[in-house]
Amino acid sequence: MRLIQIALFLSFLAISTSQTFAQCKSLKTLKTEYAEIIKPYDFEGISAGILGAGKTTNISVSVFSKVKYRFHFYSEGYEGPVIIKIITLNHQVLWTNEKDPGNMMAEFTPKKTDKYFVEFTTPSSANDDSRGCIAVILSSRPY
Amino acid sequence: MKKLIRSILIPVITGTLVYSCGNKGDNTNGEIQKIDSILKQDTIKEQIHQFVHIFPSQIKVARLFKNAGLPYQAAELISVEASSQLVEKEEKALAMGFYGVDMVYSAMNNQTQTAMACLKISKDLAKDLGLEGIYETNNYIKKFESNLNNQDSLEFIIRDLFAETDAFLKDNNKLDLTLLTFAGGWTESVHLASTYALSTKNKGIVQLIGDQLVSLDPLIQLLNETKGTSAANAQLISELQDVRTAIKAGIVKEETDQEPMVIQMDDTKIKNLIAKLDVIRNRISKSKI
Repeated sequence: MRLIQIALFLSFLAISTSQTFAQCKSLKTLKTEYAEIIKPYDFEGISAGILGAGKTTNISVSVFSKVKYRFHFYSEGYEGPVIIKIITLNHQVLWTNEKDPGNMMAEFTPKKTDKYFVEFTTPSSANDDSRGCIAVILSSRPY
Repeated sequence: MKKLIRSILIPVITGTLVYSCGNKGDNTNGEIQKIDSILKQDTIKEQIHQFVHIFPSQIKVARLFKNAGLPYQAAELISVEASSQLVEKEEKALAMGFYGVDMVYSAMNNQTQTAMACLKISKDLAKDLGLEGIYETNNYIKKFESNLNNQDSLEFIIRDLFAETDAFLKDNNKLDLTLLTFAGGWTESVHLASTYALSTKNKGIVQLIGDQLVSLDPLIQLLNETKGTSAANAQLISELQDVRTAIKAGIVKEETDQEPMVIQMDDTKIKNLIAKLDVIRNRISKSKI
């Protein structure tokens, strides 16, 4: 009987865990939601992840010279603003929303073909298990 | 019945309450919370590390090459018949990338029947890889057929198909298929550009070939991280590294913070690059050397 109780408890926890992750929208949903927002630019790519509160991570992006890009950022589930930076391989900060955390879009025309890093830093929380979702939606100007 | 209710419902309700209130007094609960925490951490780790790079869309790469002067070269495309020889999942994922790029080039150059043939092959490959839902839900074949005379619409449909495929693969944690498909598309794009560069010495095309290193490096890195036990993938990584070496041989000036690298390739270097690309292409188009 004890085993059944533990099994049931674990099932409950598994459901709780999946519900926690269900808070993140699928990339398909995000792509659909941003289809109008990115216009007149063309959709280039998308990436997302789950990130704990008070953590930093980055998503890298290949960009070509002389192409106009827009980076749309998305976050959900945090207790405060997410700070975003676009950084070069040599740690040069090209853009940040540090002074304007509500700004969730950056525009670039790289001078050279390059690899950029989009760095997300999430606000800390009193709850150690707190987490949310981050995403980058990349679009480029058509010729 | 009462016993059943007592043995099933009570633990569930109690568990819910205990979990909701964060009661850590009970040993069993403490252990379970520890397990829960580990589960969450593992999943978070997996989620963050899975899709750490956004690769350029193949349609953008094709457009860059076309704008630099790359014409349509029917003889250089992968033959339609080659798709029937494919057996392994890895080959099919790779082929989806090859045919995807051939579809883009054909559509961009008003070769709509060839583009349509490539689309149908891509759909068949997608079916074999469990991705047929993408085509069915969005009616891509029907949309394509209805817009054969409208190049802009065809490009839009292909762009959407690529984006839907990418999102589907990522949503379903199929990083291996994402990378293989991109590897196929990358190889085909650079191959088409290289064969043209060999005959014309077009400097813009050669420079763009060099620019493709920006996605080749993360591709190799991610393939390395996810190759698992697949011998086929290990071989592909080695072949892509050979391609990288062949391109890098053309660098005459390394890039700086402000300036791009300068690349020049003579006949020998381009022929060597094409030979390395052909090794990968021959996995799909075995008759071509």
